[in-house]
Amino acid sequence: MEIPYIVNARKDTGLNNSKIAIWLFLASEVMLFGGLFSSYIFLRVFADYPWPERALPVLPGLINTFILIASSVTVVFAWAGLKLRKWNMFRANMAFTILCAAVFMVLKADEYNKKLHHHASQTEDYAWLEGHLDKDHPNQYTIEADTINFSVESTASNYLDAIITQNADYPRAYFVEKLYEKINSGDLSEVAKNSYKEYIELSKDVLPKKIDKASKVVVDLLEEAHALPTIPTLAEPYKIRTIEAGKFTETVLYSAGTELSPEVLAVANDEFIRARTHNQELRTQLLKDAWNEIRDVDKHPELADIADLESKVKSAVTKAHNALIDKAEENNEFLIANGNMMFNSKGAEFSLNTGWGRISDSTIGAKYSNVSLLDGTVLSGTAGDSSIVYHYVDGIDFRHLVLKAEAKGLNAEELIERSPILNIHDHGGHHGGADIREIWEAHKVWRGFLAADLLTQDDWLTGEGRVPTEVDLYRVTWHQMVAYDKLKKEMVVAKKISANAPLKDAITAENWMRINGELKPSMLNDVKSKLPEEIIATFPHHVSIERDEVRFDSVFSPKMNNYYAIYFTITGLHGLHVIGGAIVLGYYLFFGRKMYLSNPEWLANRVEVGGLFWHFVDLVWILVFPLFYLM
Amino acid sequence: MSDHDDHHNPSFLQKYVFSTDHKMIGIQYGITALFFLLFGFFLMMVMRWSIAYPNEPLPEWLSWVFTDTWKGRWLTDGKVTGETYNMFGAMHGTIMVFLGVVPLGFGAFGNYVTPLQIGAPDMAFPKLNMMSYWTYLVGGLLMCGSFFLESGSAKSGWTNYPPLAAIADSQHPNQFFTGQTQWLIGLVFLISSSLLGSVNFITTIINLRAKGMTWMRMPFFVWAMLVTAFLLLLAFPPLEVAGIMQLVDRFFGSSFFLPSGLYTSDTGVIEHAGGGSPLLFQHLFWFLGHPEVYVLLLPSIACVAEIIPANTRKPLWGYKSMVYAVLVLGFLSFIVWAHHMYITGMGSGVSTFFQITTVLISVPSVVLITSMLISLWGGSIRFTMPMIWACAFLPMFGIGGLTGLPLAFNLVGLHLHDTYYVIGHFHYVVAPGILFGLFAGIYYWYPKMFGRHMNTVLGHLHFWPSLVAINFVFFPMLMQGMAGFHRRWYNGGDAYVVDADSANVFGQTVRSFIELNQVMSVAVFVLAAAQLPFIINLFTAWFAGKKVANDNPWDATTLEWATPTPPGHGNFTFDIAVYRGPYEYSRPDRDTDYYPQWEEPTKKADKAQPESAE
Repeated sequence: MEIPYIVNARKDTGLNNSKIAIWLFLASEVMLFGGLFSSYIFLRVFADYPWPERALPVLPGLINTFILIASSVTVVFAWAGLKLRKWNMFRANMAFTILCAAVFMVLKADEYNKKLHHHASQTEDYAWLEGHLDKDHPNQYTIEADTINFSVESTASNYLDAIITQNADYPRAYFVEKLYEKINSGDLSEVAKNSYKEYIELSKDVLPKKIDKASKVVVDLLEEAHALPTIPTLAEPYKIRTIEAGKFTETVLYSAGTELSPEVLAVANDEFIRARTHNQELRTQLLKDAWNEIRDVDKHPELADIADLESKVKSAVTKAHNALIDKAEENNEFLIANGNMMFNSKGAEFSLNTGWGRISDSTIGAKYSNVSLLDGTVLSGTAGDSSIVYHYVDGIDFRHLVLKAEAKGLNAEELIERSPILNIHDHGGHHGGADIREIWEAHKVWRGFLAADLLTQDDWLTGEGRVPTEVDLYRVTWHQMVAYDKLKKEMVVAKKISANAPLKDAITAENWMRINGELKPSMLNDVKSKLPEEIIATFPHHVSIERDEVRFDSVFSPKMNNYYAIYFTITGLHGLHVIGGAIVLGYYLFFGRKMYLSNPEWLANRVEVGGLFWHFVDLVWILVFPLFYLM
Repeated sequence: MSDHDDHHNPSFLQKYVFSTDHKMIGIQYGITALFFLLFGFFLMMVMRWSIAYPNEPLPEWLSWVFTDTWKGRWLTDGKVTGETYNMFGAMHGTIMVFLGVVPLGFGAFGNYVTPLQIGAPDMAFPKLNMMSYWTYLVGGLLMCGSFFLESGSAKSGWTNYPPLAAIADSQHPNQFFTGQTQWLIGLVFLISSSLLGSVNFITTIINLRAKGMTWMRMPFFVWAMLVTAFLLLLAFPPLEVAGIMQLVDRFFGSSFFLPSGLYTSDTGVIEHAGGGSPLLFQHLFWFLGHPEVYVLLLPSIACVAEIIPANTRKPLWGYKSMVYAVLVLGFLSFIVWAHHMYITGMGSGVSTFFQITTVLISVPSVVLITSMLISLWGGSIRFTMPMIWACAFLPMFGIGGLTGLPLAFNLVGLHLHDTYYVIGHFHYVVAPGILFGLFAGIYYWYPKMFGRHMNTVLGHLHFWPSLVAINFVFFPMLMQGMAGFHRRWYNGGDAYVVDADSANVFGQTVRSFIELNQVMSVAVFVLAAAQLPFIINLFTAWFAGKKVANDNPWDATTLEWATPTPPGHGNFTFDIAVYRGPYEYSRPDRDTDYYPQWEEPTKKADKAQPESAE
């Protein structure tokens, strides 16, 4: 059997099978991306927050656009090469096409990488702070837990590994305990050496960074040795009931003081499920008995002719059922289904990923704080330092605040002045918080000049004076931070202002126009994988905000807002199409030789079909680029 | 080009499991889909028990399927809980639509019959065809496998509306292994399967028609499959978008479908960016959802349209009108979707537009059903097994269609939204309508597939109880729905019932209609019993049925009956060519009452007709 029209076109349709199929497939792809672009419009039109505009670096996107267009041209040449039976022409052009795909993906990956390492926090007043987090101060909830309560029902140990092994405290606690024992035994000098090795061994996986400082750690540990945290131990005995030969006996499965381990929870989970199953089975049987009882005409003649759904019958059944349950309980026929296991953790410090759950009170030192994890585990104790620490801040944005304030008829400027991100208290020799305030003051001077200037120009639409955009008014980008800084340095060099004059003094009626022009850093910075150090040095450093002032925080991932969500979804799917297309075209390039020799027309057909797909991928990007990078 | 040697002696795996033969794939689709239908039916029986007898434990004959541990987790005192009911409800809908009816109609019949009817040796892309089946199976198993997860399977209805669906199961640390996520992943698999299938169908129909098979000589069945394939091709991608976006919401914490300030009693204000739109999901979902209704319907109409001419011995009345009607229907089905969303408050202008298009779409539907009805007129009807089912299809689908008309109107739609009336309406379309049509198809093509007839006595034992019981199931729903019974009451309204002397008007209304619950549920159990003869018939006829007398047991005219029984690989044993339209029955100039499409003309008059080959 042979399927017709694989290579040659059918006369009346003028097409071979694959060409029909690829056009149909592309039609469906149009619907797929059509759905996505429609969603983009829907989300943007109905957004109740300031939609980020031109938030992506244009230059890499532009380069990618030309790369894809170029590859679309070469894929046609590759096809022409096959039609002309010039293998080398095919090979060279196809190789170039695939190379383009690779370069495209590299640029894309770099763009993703930058976004995924860029963090932003929204404070309770809807102001935004953007920047890079301090690597030594991870974004975590910290709690000194007195108790840990596990929900046995959900196979609770989901985060148990993290709690037991990944937590820095446990190896250290273990080490300190041993050390302390040996100190007590009086054999200190030798012990210190061995314990140090032991500590390195224990902490290899969990504290790699701290190993360098380990000699100091030993000294610190000796100091800490008196306040020993240990492995959490069971607070109350975990009891179960067993049935043997019809006899019910209550036994203690785990006595109080049992150390926490995955096994303990797993066994308790088994016991819980066994008990629940037994209890439900019994209750089901008792309900059946209850129905039989009240439907027994001899026992309940008054209910004989009454339908099941009448309240009389329903309450009689409930009553009979409850009576039977009480009787069974008296006879201890139910097993104990205890869903909770409480452990004492004696103030040990835990750092927990913020995605795992929530903290009730993150004020440092709050006594009755608890962290509830998704799986039902609750750690209760004293809140530690959960603040978010930025290594440097490269953007502040009050547009969302203004939007909300205007909706409520509040004075936005006043709220901005009171915003937590302009009132960060610096400590430990840092002045990042003060720097942010200075930058904002400078920005206010600049936008004052801008507004006055625009007012003198007539708007082409209204015929009245122009006004600054929301972005001009309420957003300070890193470009502006760099420009303000450059201006100040110029002024200091020119001796117009002193080196410790406030930043705002550097902006004058003469020079303010240069801020958004020549002083802005070059677009070429966008194609570098990292900003140059001298630029980073101009940003406010070491800025710390308290967790309880933060409403929402995220890296620039889909979580940030729907602009980034749809950006990642569309470009991600587009990227998958690029990879898929490159794999198919690569297959023709690397494994097409055999077919070229036996049936070059067939290979040409295949490349044509692959090329059509490639054009489509290009077309999608041509829509993506203006939509996300320019609009 | 094609490898000649790998087909003649295929191994067991190649022949029955990883087959690329459209007929074997069709049978695989059919059997898998029937199993899923049975499973979906079972879920519904459990739900019906809970509705009719909300205060009694599940009886042993329903609950023996579950393990004790499962019952301990999902039943309370042996009764179905609201959560479990929601889970079963969501999965019943999903399984019936995506895993049962569509694969049976489009996957099984479409695959088996279409290439035969156009005289093709196979599908245009046999390997894609195989992949389509396996993707479907994986998607289906992922969805159903989620019953065994700690979270249970999806519980947010087959429509999967956010924000409910978007935050469902979010308390589970491992989002991947939750029912809701598995549902979405399964859906993406099913969509991919449909995509592969539809591309294949359209290419096959366009390019692989036999010599002489012009467009207007194609049986109506093929036309219906062509339109169905276009619906799948163009309507499914937006749902795939919705599925992907919801997966992004779940895995990466985005807020596509989550509005700002969403609050739940469990967690308070949910920590998310907000600004998303639940309405967007509804638009994307129903953009598929409505064409999907016709994806369900058209294969069934297609089967009936083949069976009626063969069993009335006269041409299909209004063949051309039917073809045009099905094309118009396909087009209109893309612009009616928001009639599912009148209650969302999308605005009266939008509602009016969709109300008009919805009323419009009833015109081509009526053309189809009327043409088939008129086809019966003056025919010498043979009441064979398939014909009986086909005859039942017409009025049953009629009820389903007519009860839909009031729902098209915005004002009435607001009142009836989410009531049992809606359930009654679309179940009339799908169960006694579409499924009866598909049963007809099974009885009709079974002899071609396996070379044996299905047993007639068992067939009648299947048909009559089914017909009676199914009306007792769905007709009371229409009554209850107009009285205001909500479709998601897991205890059938028990919570609202009041005593006879109460002044609560709504409670009294519920009281006066609630006993219908037991009527419907008993009818469901009878209906279940009525399927046993079918199951027995399906499997015993395979080896014990009456052998067919010849390759064309129904004396039909379309090309599938020109093949050997069952057809071998490559289908036709001679060079197939088509000389006339698909329904040339009872031509006065012929001795026999049928004139097959493939029979070479013997008379001059026939030869004079232009043969536009390729």
